[in-house]
Order: sequence, then structure tokens, then C-alpha cells
Amino acid sequence: MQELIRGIDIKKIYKTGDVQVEALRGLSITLYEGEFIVILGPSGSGKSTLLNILGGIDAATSGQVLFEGQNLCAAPERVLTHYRRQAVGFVFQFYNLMPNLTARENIQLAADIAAQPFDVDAMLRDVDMSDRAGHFPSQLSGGQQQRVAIARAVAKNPRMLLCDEPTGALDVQTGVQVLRVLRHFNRDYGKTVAIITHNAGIAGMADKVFTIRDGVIAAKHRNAHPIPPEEVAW
Amino acid sequence: MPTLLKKALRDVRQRLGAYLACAMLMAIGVLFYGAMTQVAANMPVAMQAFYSEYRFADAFATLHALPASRLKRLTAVEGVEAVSGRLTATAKVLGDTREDTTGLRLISYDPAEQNRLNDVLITEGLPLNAGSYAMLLTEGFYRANGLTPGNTLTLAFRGRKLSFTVAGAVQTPEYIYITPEGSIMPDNKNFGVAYVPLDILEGLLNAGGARNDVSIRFKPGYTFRQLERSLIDALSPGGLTRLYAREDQASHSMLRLELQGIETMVSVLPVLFLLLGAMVMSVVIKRMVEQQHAQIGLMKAFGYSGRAILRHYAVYGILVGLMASIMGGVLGALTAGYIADMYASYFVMPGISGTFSFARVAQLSLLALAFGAGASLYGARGVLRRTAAMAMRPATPEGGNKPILLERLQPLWRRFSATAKLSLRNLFRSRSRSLLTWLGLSICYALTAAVFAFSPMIEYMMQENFTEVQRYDYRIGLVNIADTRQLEQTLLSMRPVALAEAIAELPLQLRAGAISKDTALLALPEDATLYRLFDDARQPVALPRAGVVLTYRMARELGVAVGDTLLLDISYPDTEVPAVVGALCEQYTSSYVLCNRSYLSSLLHGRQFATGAMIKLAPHATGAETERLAQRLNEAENVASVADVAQMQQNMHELIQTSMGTLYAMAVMAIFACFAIVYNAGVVILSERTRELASMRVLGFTLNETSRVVAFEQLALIAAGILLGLPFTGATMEALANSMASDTYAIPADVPFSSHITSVLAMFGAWLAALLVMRRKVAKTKMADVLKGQD
Ligand SMILES: Nc1ncnc2c1ncn2[C@@H]1O[C@H](COP(=O)(O)OP(=O)(O)OP(=O)(O)O)[C@@H](O)[C@H]1O
Ligand SMILES: [Mg+2]
Repeated sequence: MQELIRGIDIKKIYKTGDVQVEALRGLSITLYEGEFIVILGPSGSGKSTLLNILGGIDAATSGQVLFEGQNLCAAPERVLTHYRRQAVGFVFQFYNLMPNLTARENIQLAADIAAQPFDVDAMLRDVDMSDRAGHFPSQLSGGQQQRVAIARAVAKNPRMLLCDEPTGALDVQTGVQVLRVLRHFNRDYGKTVAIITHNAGIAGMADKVFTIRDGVIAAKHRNAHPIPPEEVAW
Repeated sequence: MPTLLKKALRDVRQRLGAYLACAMLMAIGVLFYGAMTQVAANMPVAMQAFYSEYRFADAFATLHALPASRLKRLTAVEGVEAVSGRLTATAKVLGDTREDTTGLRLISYDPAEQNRLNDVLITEGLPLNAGSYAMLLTEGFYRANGLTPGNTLTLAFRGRKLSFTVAGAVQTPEYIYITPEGSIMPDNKNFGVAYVPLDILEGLLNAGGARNDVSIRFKPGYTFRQLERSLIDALSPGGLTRLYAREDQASHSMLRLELQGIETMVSVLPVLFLLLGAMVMSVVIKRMVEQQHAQIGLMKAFGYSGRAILRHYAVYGILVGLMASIMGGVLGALTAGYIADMYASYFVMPGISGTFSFARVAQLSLLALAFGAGASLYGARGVLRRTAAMAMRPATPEGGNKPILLERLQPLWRRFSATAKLSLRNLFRSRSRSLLTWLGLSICYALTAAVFAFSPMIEYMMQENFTEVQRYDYRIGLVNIADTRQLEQTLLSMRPVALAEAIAELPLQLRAGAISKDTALLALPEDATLYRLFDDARQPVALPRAGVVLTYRMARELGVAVGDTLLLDISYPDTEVPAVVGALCEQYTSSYVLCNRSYLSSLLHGRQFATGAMIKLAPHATGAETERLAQRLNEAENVASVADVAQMQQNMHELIQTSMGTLYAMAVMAIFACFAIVYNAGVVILSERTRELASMRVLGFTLNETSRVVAFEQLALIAAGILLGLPFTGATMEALANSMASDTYAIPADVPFSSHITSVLAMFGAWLAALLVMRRKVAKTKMADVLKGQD
């Protein structure tokens, strides 16, 4: 499999006043093209920090993040912006849709800046939101908002989807819907998908499972037979 | 400290820029009030005290010569309490340079007189003794010329040279504000009043017991209107040329006008700025409340009542009110002395003090707190409607989810990029916020443009006056009337005079029905070239063969139009004749009634005479020639006054430059208000979009693309503010000009293009500055932190 992005010896130290928090302590990780990855770990272990650094929205204190031969940790803002624009799709636990734009327009917003975006209406169909295209976020349920957020992330046609607890705020049924959408993009579009979750059941879907503890990777596990989203135990 | 207060303090610190800008707007109000209120309260009191202690007269008369016996009889007129008779004359001060046109009005001073009216307060030096060639000078002239007791002044007086010793400086209710003849601006260096012992002036004028200036004080309860007739009867034997009430006395009317202006400054401006600040404040609060809707829902879920939460938000306003009070108070304390000094330099009287009044600032601070709290409550009133459950969903935009107007134009709407749609919806959705900001921006625009229009307008007025209307180089006034032709010929024989036109200027009362106005008549040669008339469209007005020309203002006040007939009451020679209004004209610095010289002589039954002349010099006149001419005129026996237009223009120009302190202060504040409002609009937009802007950056929008959303939104507001500001500017200017206009002084109420440019530049400057700040803020925003939580 083709290597997509590689993090080497990443350290992240938060300084607040006199207190120093070492969120990542020399963590190394490699993601490959087309993989479905699940990241597990206790609260505060550094999962979100890692994902943010890999996605180029936060900077590591030291270490390297290599993407297409370039070290993102030493890259200027211009390069990072370009990286976020072309290579990464982010999905958050709390959706972060633009309240003043409709579902369709939220997706359009992302498509507008991408080099080779997917068709916006196709995206809406993919997440089964065509009939709600003209609705504003405040008129949508949590699961629906999350599906729009995923469609928005995918619409740019990025190389990877980074999802931080995408089902964290959702019930089982909507959670499964969201996972199905993510699975669809992974399988049918060949996108790398990385999901942070507290739900160990979701790990069954993954090709690869990383467990993070105290800022380092404590365990790595490969799934020979990933299960479909419907069979995930919640 | 209560936890909620901590929250309030942190919230304010987080949005310090926005709250500070509100506070500063309000602080300007407190500052104006604190610094001027004392002067405003103090000046009328000081004026009244000075008037009564130094017996300021109720009526004034100028005459040819009233015998002493007649003067005594005046006291017997019913309603008259006291009378003072004086001699007045004009003289010129001879300086080192011959071109000096420094003038002095000489007023006789009888050291023996008891309870003299219009008495003087000697602030430096010693009283006058009878028989000595000494003079007391009004303080402005005394100081401006750096005089001290014992100095000598040489005067040119009716062809003689006289030396007087300076005895000291005085203040008097009659000359609190001194202006040279025919001017509205004080010119302390070149014009003043000198009190000279009565016996000396009597000898110089050969007056022999007669007086040419009479002041009258009324018994309580009597008015000028009631006594006018009997006074005219009693004074006419002395050749009355002018009788006027205190209201028309130059110093008094100027002082009253200024008091009125201060009154407006103190009562309107502070409230205006408090309101402006409160308006912006309510927008900021409203936004913050919307942003904190999740927190509010949570507080409600905990069991806080809606009122308790409202009270919490009122604290923000009170904090801002406090900041405003402190800033305004400190600035006011620093400037109060300066402002009082400024007034004291224009209005010479005892008792102008500008001590800073903390008690009064406290009053306005209370008002600022109330405005702040009120604005907060107004902005936060939405919390009452919110329920805990609503906190779980994204805030519904204010305008609901209804499509905005532009969306109806689908073909157009579809062309917009998603970012443009974002900006536009933001703008239209938060309607009341946009409206308030819009209104605030347009007020600022109007204020800036109007304030900046003032100085060019005054320049323009002078320009018009000195190049278009008064086209002469010198204007002389005669002691005794002369024959027109003879006067012109005499003047033309002097080098380098190229043109001389004799004029007649007479005091006059106009009557139309029950309304009367005291003014002056100026008779010009039929084909006058040195004095021209213009209408309000700047088109020349021809002097009619018969009838008089009035100013628009005068016609309005008398309620007459072209073609109407009014009564001209000329007091010397005593004549009352009807005259037709032949035309109307605009005069900015005077309010002459104009007519044709031959028309005047026909009114006066054939008497042809001049009281002065206008002189134009040859274009190639040398400096030496001009100087010699000025000297000859100054020393000529029958010349009472010589006005040098170039000098007048120069003086006026300098005075305007230095005397516009208040206007400049207002201009600075108006520009500041622009910055505060524009910046605040930006901060508000920014703080409410933090999450969206961070989302956009995660999607891969560049810093510039992201900032553009805010910039566009703000720009649209500013453009709209300017559009609405245009009509506001006209109205503001009109109001300002009206409030400053008087009988002898009108300001054109047009707004020159340049001040619109200034105002637009100020707005865009503010926009750019705000953008820079905002871009930095966007750049500094930590995407990961903003986006990890829920609202
Ligand atoms: N902005 C910050 N300032 C200071 N410390 C931070 C910051 N963000 C994260 N941390 C700390 O870094 C550590 C790792 O945080 P991170 O958010 O990566 O954990 P996580 O594994 O995602 O936890 P969770 O499962 O609860 O989301 C935690 O101890 C956290 O307190
Ligand atoms: Mg996390």
C-alpha cells in the first residue's frame, strides 16, 4: 500500500502559566492510502492533538509530519493552507456548520475552493440529504448536520478524512448512518479515513486500530476481517 | 467576588477593544460636559454680576452734539434711572511702520463722575486724573500689544499727533467682546478702546460741554420698546444718529450668541455621544448574548431566572459606563482649564473660571451608567425568550430562516460565491444590529463632513467677501460729510489711487408693519465697481435705479418680498420715507441695506453727500507708494477711519485659524467616533464569526479569503452609512449654520465636496485600520481550540 502521511517522533507540549502538559511524547505513526483507521484511547491521552497536527490545524512542538516528501511541521502558513484545502477533510464532534448557510451552500462553500471538487448534488445524495438541501443547520437534527459536515469534508475530494468523534453526540441509529457514509467514501472513493472514537465497537470496522495512551501509541492492531457498520456493537 | 462578576470581567477583557470603543464614545460626552459645564454655568452668572456691578446701560445713543442741559433733562423722562453722557472719537495709533492701521476708539472718562454707567474695572495700573494725557486701555489691546503702565502711545487724531501715557488696563461690560468697525472677529492687536480724561477729549474735540454718546439705564420694569419714543424725542435736538437697545449692542449680542452656543454644546453634544456609545454598546451586548446562548441555556437549566441573567448582562453596561466616566473625567479635568482660558481670551470679563467640577461629572457619570445599563438591557432583552432546550441547537439567525430579499432574485443570487452569500446573509439576518450600526455610521459621517465643511465655508465666505463683493483696497470714513464729486477727485489726485468711489453710510431703521430692524444703509454709485452684489445663486445683482436691496435674511425677518414697500427711518437728517424693495442679495459678513447714491439723494430732497469712499490702487503701485498713501490718509484731518482690506483679510484669516479650537476638537472627535464605530462593527462581526472563520480556515481558505468575509460585510455597511449620511450632512450643516447666524454674520450652509471626501476618507481609513486589527486576530485564532467545543 502507498504511504499517505507519516508522523515521526511528534511531541506536543501545552504551556499554560507554570503548568506544562505533555500531550504527545514522541509519537510516530504512518497512514496509508485507502485505509480505514480507528484511534482509541482514554480521555486526555492526546488523540485530538494528534489528529489536529496531522490535519495541519495545529503545530507540533517538535518532530516531523511528512506529506508527499514535505515536512509540514516546518512549512509556512501558505503551504499549510494549501494542504488543508487539497488534502484534508475534517469532521468534528460538533459539526461546525455555518449557521447562515443552507446544507447545500455549506457543501458548496468547500467545493468552491477545491481544485477538483465532487459534484455538490451527488454529495447530498451520497449522504441521503437531497430532500433537505435548502435547510439551515438549525433546522436539522444532529445526525443530519453531521452527514452534511461529512459531505462538506468529502466534497473537496481530499486525500483523507480526519474525524474527531464523529458519532460522539449521536444515538446508535444515526451513529450507524454516519459510519455507513464514512465507510462508503472509504470503499467507493478510496479515501483514507481516520476516526477517533471512545466506542471500542467501531474498532471492528477498521483495517487498523491504534491505541494511544499518555501521548504515545501503546498498541497497534490489524483487522483481517473488518465488519460492516450495521454489525458494530454500541 | 461573585462568579458571574468574574465572568463579566473576563468577557469584557476578551472583547476589550469593542467595549473600550463604546466607553470612549461615551467618554467624549462626559468630557464635553465636564470641561464645559462649568464655563456654561459660570458665564451667564459672571456676565450678570459684571453688568449690574458696573452698571451696563439698557440703551445707547450716538448723536452729533447734545448740550449738557438737555442731558440733565433726560433723567426726568419716565422710566429712566440714570444717564451718562460721554464723548467718543476714533484715532489711529502711529507705530514704527507707517502702514499700521491700528485703530483706537477714544471714550471720555470723567474721574469725578459718580455711579457712571458702563463703568470700567481697572485690572492693572492706576485710575485717570483729570487734565493728564493718559489713557486706560481695554485689556485685550493692552495685552496683545505688550503694554505696561508708563508706556507712551502716539496717536494720529484729526491731523494732529498726540502722545498719551498708558495708565493701565480695564475691563468693562460694554466691551467684553470687542470687534473693529465692520468686523465680526476681535482683532486685539489692531483695535481697542481707550478711556481718556473727559477734559482732555473735550478740548481736543472743541465740544464745549456737549456730548455725542449717551448711555441710559432704565428703572426696573421698563423696556426699550416702552421708552423708545420718549427717548427719541428727548435726544433728537442733539442730532440723534442712532438709538439702540442693549440687545443690539455689539459686545452683548456676541456674548449672548456665544452663551447660546455653549448651552447647546453642553446640553446636546454630551447626550449625543452618550447615545452613540449606548447604541454601539447594545449591538455588542446583543451579539455577545447570541454567542453565549448555550451558556444562557445552561444557566437557565441550573435555575437562574431570566431576570437574574438580564441583571448579569446589565453589569457589562455599568462597567462600560464606569470606564467612560473615568476616562471622560480625567480628560475633562485636564482640559477644563484650557477651555476656560480660551473663553477668557475672547470674552474679557472678571469671573470666567473653568475649575473642573467633579460633582457635575458625577451627574453625567450617573447618566453614563444608566445609558450603559439601559443599552445592555436593550441588547440582552432576548435572553428572556430563550429556553434551556434552545441551547442544544445552533442559534437560529435573527431573521429566522426566511430567505433574504436578494435570494428572490435567483439568477443573481446563484452567481454569488458561497462566501458572498455568507456575508450577505449575515448582514441581512442580523437586521437590527446592522440597522443600528448603519445609523451610527451615517451620523458619524454627517458629523465629520459638517464639521469639516465649516472651515472651508468660512474661508469661502471670506474669499467671496474680499474678492467678489468688496473689491476695494482701502475704505475710508469721514469725520464730516463731503461732496461726492469733490471727494472722488481729491482721492484720484493722490498716487497710486486708480479708482475712487464715494459712498454714504447711514444708520437706519427699517419698518414693515409692526416689525422693525435697526441696520445701516449703504449708498453706492450707480455703476459701482468696487462693491458688488450677488444673489444666493452667486449671480450678480444690479443695483436698481429706485428702491433698496435687502439681504434674504432681512427680508425674511421683515416678511417682505421684492416689490413690497417698507418704511426707511433715517435719524439724521431726520427723515421717514417709503421705499420699494428692488432686489434681494446675499451678504455673509454684513447686513447692509443697499441703494443707489442718486436714489438716496432723491429721498433726502436733493442732498448729495458722501460719508466715506472706497479706493482701488493702481495695479503696479509700489510698496512705498502705498505706504505713503496710507500715511496721508491716516493723517488727513477729515478722515476718521482707514480700513486696509488686505490687512483685514490677513487678520481675519489668522483669527479664524486660531479661533476654531472647538471645531477642530469636534472634528477630531467625529473622526474618532468613525473609527470607534467602524472598528466596533468589525470586532462584533469577528467575534460572532470566530467559529465560522475557523471552520473556513480548516476547509483550506487562506487568511485573506477568510478576512474578506468580514471586510465585505463591513464595507457594505460603510457604503450604506455614507449614502444615508449624505442627506444627514446637509441637515446637520443647516442646523449648525442657523444656530450660528446673526444679523451681521451668515454662514453659507453648503457642504463643499472636499469635506465629503474628508469624511469618506475617514470612514475608509477606519475600515482599513479595523481590517488590519481583524486580520491579525483571525491569524492568531487557534483553530483547534475554537472548534473542539460546542459553541
Ligand atoms: N489548548 C490546550 N491547552 C492546554 N492543554 C491542552 C490543550 N488542549 C489539550 N490539552 C491537554 O492535552 C492533553 C491531550 O488532549 P487531547 O484533547 O488531545 O486529548 P483526547 O485524547 O482527545 O481526549 P478526549 O478523548 O477527552 O477528547 C490533555 O491532557 C489536555 O488537557
Ligand atoms: Mg479529543
